[in-house]
Amino acid sequence: MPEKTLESLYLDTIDQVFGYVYSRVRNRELAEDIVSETYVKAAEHYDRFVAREHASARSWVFTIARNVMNDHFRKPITSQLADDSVANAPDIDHVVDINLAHADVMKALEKLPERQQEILLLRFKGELRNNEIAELLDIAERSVSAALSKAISTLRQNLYV
Amino acid sequence: MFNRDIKGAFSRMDTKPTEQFKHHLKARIIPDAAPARAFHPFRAFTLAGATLVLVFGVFTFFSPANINRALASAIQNTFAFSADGYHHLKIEIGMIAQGSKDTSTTEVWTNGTHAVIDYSNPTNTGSEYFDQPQGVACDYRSPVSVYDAHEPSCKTPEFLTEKMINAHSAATADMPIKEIAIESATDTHGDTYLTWITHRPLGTTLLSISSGPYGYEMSEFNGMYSWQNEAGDTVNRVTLHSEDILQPMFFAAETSFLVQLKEIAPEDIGSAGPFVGEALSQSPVYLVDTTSMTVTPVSDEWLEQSRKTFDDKMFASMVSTETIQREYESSFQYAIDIGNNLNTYTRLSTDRTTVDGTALEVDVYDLGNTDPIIIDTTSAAKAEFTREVDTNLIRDMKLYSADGTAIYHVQLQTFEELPSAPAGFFTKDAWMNHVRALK
Repeated sequence: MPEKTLESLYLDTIDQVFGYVYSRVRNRELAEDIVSETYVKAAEHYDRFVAREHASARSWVFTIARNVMNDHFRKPITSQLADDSVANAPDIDHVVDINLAHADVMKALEKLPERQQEILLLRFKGELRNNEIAELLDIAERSVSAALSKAISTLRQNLYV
Repeated sequence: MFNRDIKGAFSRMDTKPTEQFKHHLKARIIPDAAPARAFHPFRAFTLAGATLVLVFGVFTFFSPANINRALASAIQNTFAFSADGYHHLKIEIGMIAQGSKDTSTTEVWTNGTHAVIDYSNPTNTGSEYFDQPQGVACDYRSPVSVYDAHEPSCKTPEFLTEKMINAHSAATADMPIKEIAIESATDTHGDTYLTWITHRPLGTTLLSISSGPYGYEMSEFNGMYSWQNEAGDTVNRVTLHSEDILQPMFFAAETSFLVQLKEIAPEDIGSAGPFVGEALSQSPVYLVDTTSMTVTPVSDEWLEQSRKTFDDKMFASMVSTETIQREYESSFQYAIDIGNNLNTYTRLSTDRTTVDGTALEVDVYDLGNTDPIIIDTTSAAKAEFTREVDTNLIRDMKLYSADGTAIYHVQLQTFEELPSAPAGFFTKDAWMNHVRALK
């Protein structure tokens, strides 16, 4: 049944997609909105996706998530929420789930170029394979590998030095 | 070697969704997961009736006969250009619909007065077909009623009228294409779309078209779509977006551009990935003159001779009085070199760029070289950057050279949230002032 397959896709990807989105937007409430919209869109068009036999379901969901995020950031800046990790007056409900490690990694991540951040998060939070990231970002797999290698090297330096 | 320490660092980040959120979202997208509702005879009766009406309606409206009529209608109007814009609207509707890579014949529905279109956000590429599909009903009998691809509503067609190029050519002996049509449109966001349409007799090899001033194959197509018209011909339509085509280079002095035909397997038509085509032996390159609306095969010798001309014209048309000129440096030389290739050049225009006021960094990972290009705007010896700019704001990052002088300019996107964002060429100071204002 399609619903069953959609359910499997949801269960298989929700943690990774949320982790990726949350890491990108750095606000849990906003992440929940984006992830919700992502899966609603996925559900609406799942039948059409199934018709594409060779497409990667995980890449497809991440593609939707990325586009939803892009759409969000094209909205007026005033409507965007504060960064959980840097807000001046943080909501206590948000703060409790942001531990020191989170902040450290985020801080180190911010020093990386935008694309490297994205590839790192897709790899480690989204748990996508290099070929899936390449498909998602529409770049060569070797470019993903190289960018990942460079990003990890820089991140490691930022974290441990 | 697996990067266990980095993975561990990421795993320590608490970015998991709450169980409550997961449960609610699952219930929202998967009805079966929602709590069962109590049976109610009236509700059941109403539901059954509504379902019956819906099934009947869907069967009637989306019957194969209607589908064929819908496609036939679109095809009939594909080449029926008229001055009043009436037919243009239909064409552009179809063209935008081709922004996806879905080959489903159900993309455009029509009942004779309205078209319902599933479209994707044409500012993106790839499988974003599923990003923002919207069923939009537009009365295309009226030239003022057409949807804006960026808005899920019908809008006036001003975004279609800025540039419209139609070029037709008769078939040539060695390339039995019955007709080529090239369309271009710029929407309200400044994005340019180019569409090629070819006709070939059914049963022969399908063709895609690649382009480039030197005949390079495009690395990707935004979308390709094929169907059969009433005469039994296979009609292919390829849509490219300006992000894939650096317009000034592509247009070669903005009056002409080149297309070259590539052969692709029929099974690749409409596939999600980039089209992999084999260059046709003896494949001619066509020069499309946008002023005379003619398409002419050109020779290799002509291409070679025109290479320098194209460069000169391109530079002449792009160099602005407000661009910044700096000393030639080796790292920039690489950018210039790869910039001479259409594919890689266009990549540069869309890749991530960082700037801190003294240096620009351009990632070139798409080009097979992972080392970013550092463009020092003050000194050849200094190549540092510390601050990243929201790359969504960068519309075009263009790098080119003239007479050994490195030149760059940055153009900001003018999204709605940036009403004061100036467009056009930037000096470094203007650029940085704007960046600071955003922070």
